[in-house]
Amino acid sequence: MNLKLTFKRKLYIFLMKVAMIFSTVFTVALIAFLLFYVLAQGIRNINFELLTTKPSYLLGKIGILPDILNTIYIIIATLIIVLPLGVGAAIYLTEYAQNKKIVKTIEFASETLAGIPSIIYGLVGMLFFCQFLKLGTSIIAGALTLSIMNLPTIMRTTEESLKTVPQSFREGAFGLGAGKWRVIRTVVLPNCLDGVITGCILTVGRILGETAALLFTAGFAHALNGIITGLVSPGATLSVALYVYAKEQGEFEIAFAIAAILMILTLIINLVATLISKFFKLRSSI
Amino acid sequence: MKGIINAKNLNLWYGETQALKNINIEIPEKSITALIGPSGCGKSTFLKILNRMNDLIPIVKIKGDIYYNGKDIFEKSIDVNSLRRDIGMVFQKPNPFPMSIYDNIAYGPRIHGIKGKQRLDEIVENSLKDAAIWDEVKDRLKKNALGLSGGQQQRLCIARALAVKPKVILMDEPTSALDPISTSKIEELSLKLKDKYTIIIVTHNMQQAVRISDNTAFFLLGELIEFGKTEEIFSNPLDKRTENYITGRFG
Repeated sequence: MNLKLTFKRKLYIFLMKVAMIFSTVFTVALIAFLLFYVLAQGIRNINFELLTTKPSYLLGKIGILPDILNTIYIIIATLIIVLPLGVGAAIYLTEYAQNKKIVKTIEFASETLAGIPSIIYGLVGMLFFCQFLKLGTSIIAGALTLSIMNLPTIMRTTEESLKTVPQSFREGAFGLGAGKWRVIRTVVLPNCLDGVITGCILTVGRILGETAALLFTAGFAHALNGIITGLVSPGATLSVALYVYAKEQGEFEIAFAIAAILMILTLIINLVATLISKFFKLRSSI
Repeated sequence: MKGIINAKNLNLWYGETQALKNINIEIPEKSITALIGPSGCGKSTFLKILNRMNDLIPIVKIKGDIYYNGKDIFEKSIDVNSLRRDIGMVFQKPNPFPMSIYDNIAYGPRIHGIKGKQRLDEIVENSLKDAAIWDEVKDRLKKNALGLSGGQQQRLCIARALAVKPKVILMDEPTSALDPISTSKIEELSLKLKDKYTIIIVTHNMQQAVRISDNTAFFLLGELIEFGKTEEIFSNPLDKRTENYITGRFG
């Protein structure tokens, strides 16, 4: 038998290799270009004053402190609303619910919900929270809208990690005479914290990037407010501000500065997520 | 010796399939009872209903009674958590919680309202000593229990069960996942524990049943075929099917 590679075969291997290297290089180059372009354009426009002042038409200056604060307010408010709801629903569906058909239906519905374009959430949020509940265009209305939008994410990630907790842990605890809620609280939940945290991080990432739903519900204002008045007043988050500065005011330098900040924040969130999951892996392996 | 657990005309179904047929058995106190039989004969099912672990499976239907110390365990007024405190369980695969060795043992006492470091320390030490694992772990009580070997984990689980001061300990093939040395440690431990506790053990290993048990029950296809003194069951079985099983003709 002839074990030597034929010329045809060699050529084929060579071409496939080239094709693979090309697609890898192309993908990496595209991402690198995007990153460097935004960072290069953005970072030189970031300065201390931009980060710590509010915009003033009288002085003709732009500052993005209100937008940073609004982003933080909306993240905190959304997480406070969505975490108990999402984690609670996940616990009910995996640990308590008996009717598997209903559970499947709810899971299917929540998956569908997760795929709906965010502008639809914005529209519904505007009609329901801003007008029907008379919250007006405000951070809280935005946070409520984002809560609904992210509820499926938190629910699904928590559910998935609840399902990974071995049944033998539950049996062990029940076998010692523990009640259901105690088993969940002391054995099940601590073992799926990483799932809950993953859900939170995904949610924060989504909030950072969300504009469509917030344009309708939280508005464009750049006023500097404390957290209480901030919640009931309209306010732009960083992404919304980026849209407003670029599209309505033609301030591309500011828009790029915001874009760079958002990118850096996303990077930090991803790093934190990796660190946390490493921490949990380490803890469970000791 | 009087019976601590009595089953009367016990029948059990998983959905439409009958897994236990008219079981009548009286399990004597402070002794080791072995449940043997081929896979799927109902011995594990029988073990698990003794502390109502079947409550976790919704499709199970039960007819008949089980009396623990004269009380019907299926009665509505029974607090299943106290029942499981009295009738502890050790599972086939060691299942320590992913927390420290100390917290594993203290888990049960804490459920039942025992507080105070000194009392818990005492319980942890005594339970680990009773389970013959104290010397191996006393220097690393704060370390995660998952770092122990399989055999150590199983003895830890026995210690965890002992910590709530049960009267009965159910063991569901406790050594099937362990090596011979760990197995003999668990067997020795069981023999030591029977002075204080009633032990009911499901085993696939007939030598194990001979080595440690006082009484043996042979199950086949959901029926209790024969129950009696271990030496009699293994030397002079009354039923042909028992003889065929223990001599290795099937199963």
